[in-house]
Amino acid sequence: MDPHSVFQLRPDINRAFSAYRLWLSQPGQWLTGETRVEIARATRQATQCEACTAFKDHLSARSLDEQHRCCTLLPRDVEVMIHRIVNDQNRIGPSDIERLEGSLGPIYAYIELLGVVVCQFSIEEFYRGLALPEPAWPDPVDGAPDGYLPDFLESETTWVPMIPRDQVQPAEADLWPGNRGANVLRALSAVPNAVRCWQSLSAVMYLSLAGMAEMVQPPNRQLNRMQMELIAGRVSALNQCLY
Amino acid sequence: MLRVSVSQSNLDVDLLGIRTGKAEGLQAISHAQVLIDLADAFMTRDDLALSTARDRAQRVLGDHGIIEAIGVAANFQRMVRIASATGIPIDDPDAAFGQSVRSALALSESDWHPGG
Repeated sequence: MDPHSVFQLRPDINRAFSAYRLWLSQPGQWLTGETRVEIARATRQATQCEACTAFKDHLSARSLDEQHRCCTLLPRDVEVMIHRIVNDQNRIGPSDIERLEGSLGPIYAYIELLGVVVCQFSIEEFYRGLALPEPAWPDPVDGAPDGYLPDFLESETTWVPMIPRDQVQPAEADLWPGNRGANVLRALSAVPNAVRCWQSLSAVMYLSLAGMAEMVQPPNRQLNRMQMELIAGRVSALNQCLY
Repeated sequence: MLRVSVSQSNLDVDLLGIRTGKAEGLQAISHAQVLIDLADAFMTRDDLALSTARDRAQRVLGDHGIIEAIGVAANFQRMVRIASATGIPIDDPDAAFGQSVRSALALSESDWHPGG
C-alpha cells in the first residue's frame, strides 16, 4: 500500500498525524520546538542503533552508553535516554531520570520528552508496519516554552509527578472521565498536552477513551473488538508489559 | 480488555495463547492465528517476515483490516513505553478480576519488569 491509499481509506489517521506534527513543531511546556523535533528525530534514529540491539541483553548496558549512535543536536545523555525508552524501556529506573536534570531541565521536561518519544515512535511503527516511506519532519516554530503546570500534582504513586485522580481542575477535566484516571492516563499528566496528543493518536490507531469503555464492535471498523484486543495483548506480551 | 470483550461475547477462549503465540484456544476469535502471526512478525522488526505476514493478513482482513491491525500494534508500542519509562504500578480496581486474568495468562509477580 502507498500513503495515499492508506490515508484515503482512513483520513482520520491522516488528520491525527498532521495534528501531531503541528504539536511537535511548536514550543511546549518545557521544551522548545527545535528540541522537540530533535527528540523526534532521535526517536527514529534509535530504531536503527546497532548498539541498542547489541546491548539489549547486556547485564551492564549503561557502561556501554558511549557506543550508541547519536546524531542529533541533543545532549548525548538525553539522546541515549531516548534510545533506552525505544529499545530497552524495561530497565529504566528513577535514577536514570534524575541524572538527566543537568542537561534536560526539571523532571517535567523529561515527561514532555517522553510524550514526544512515545507519540513519534508509535507513528514510526505505523509507517514501518505498512511499509510506508518515512514522513518528513516539520519545521520547528520559534518561541519559548510556557512552563505551564497543573495546579495539583502528586509524587507518591511513581517516579514522575502526576495529577491526583481526585484533584483534577477544570483546565484538565478533558484528560479522563470522572475519577477514572488509570495510571497510564495520569503518567504524563504533568504535561497535559502530551496526554491529549497520545489520546488523539490512540483514538484513530486503536480506540478513543469512550470507545474503550464500550466493549462492542467499534463503528466504522473492520476488525471486531476481540481481534483488536488480541493484537494489543500479543504485542504487549512480547514487550513483557503487564499493563 | 480481551477478557472483558470475550466475556461479553459469551465465547470460550484460553488467554494463554496471548503468551504462547499459539491460537488453539483462541479459535473463537476470527483469524486469530493470522493476527498473532502478524503481531509476531511486526515485533521481530524483520522486513521480510513482516511483509509475508502482512500480505497474508491483508488477504483475509482486507485493506481496512490490515491498516487497523497495524494501527493497534503500533499503538501498543506506545503504551508499554509510557508505563515502563514512568514506573507506574498496575491499576487494580477489581483485584479478583485482575488476579483471574493474570492466572489465565500464567503470569506471576516475578514476570513483571524491574521498573514496575
